[in-house]
Amino acid sequence: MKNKEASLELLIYMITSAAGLANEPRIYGPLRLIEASQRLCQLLLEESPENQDLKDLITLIEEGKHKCTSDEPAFYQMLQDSAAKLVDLI
Amino acid sequence: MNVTEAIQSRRSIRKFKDTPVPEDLLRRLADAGRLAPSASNLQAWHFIFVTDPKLVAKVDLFSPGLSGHPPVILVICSDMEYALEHGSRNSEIYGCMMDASMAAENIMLSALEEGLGTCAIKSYTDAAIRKLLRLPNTYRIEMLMSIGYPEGAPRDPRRIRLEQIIHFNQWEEEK
Repeated sequence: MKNKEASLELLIYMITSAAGLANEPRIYGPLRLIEASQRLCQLLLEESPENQDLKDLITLIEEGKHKCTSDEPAFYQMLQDSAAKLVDLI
Repeated sequence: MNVTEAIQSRRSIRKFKDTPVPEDLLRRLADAGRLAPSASNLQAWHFIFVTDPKLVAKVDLFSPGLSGHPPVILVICSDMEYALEHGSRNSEIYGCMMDASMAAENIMLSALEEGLGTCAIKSYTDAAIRKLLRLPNTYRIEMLMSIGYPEGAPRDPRRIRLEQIIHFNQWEEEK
């Protein structure tokens, strides 16, 4: 694995999120998952720096993730749009 | 900046510049916290400013609720041994958390006046933060607060209308 440090950071993020989610608001579950996904996208992008679809997905998540506490429908739409964007990557 | 202006313009900041925050400024923030109301005047609070960049990065890693890589993380703790000895069971149930919250608001408003941004969070792994800070078992972490100079403008938060939550004298079924 090329980027061990970033992978370790992602691992820490996922485990600390799992540890805390039991007592967090329900919407924080999808939030932590999409945040972890965005970090994974960054790792993949380092392997393929020219991949525009990955760049678009990172931007899509970045612009929508903060809406989880202010505009829930827009946040959930971003999750749907992100899932649809994955079609371009396979 | 007067109090009303500070209250109306404060926002949770989730993106920070790398610029370090001077220690004397952090001391002023702790002093603002120290002057907050305290249940039974217990003042069991302690303010730990994490400023060492390597330690800040580690605390950040174990705090999923933190964002924007702040240069300073404030850990507000309560000395529960002192609180239980000088206070009551209620100090443990709600008093210390209430005190920490009131101190935090003082700190956030003072920070705003100093040109700083803040964001208070509860999403962190208690055991990991405790280990990183070498915090004695008798101290309880009440919250973390990111502190730094804001990068960009914050988003406007969703706020419930005043008319939906204000009441006079008695409960009204229909609003």
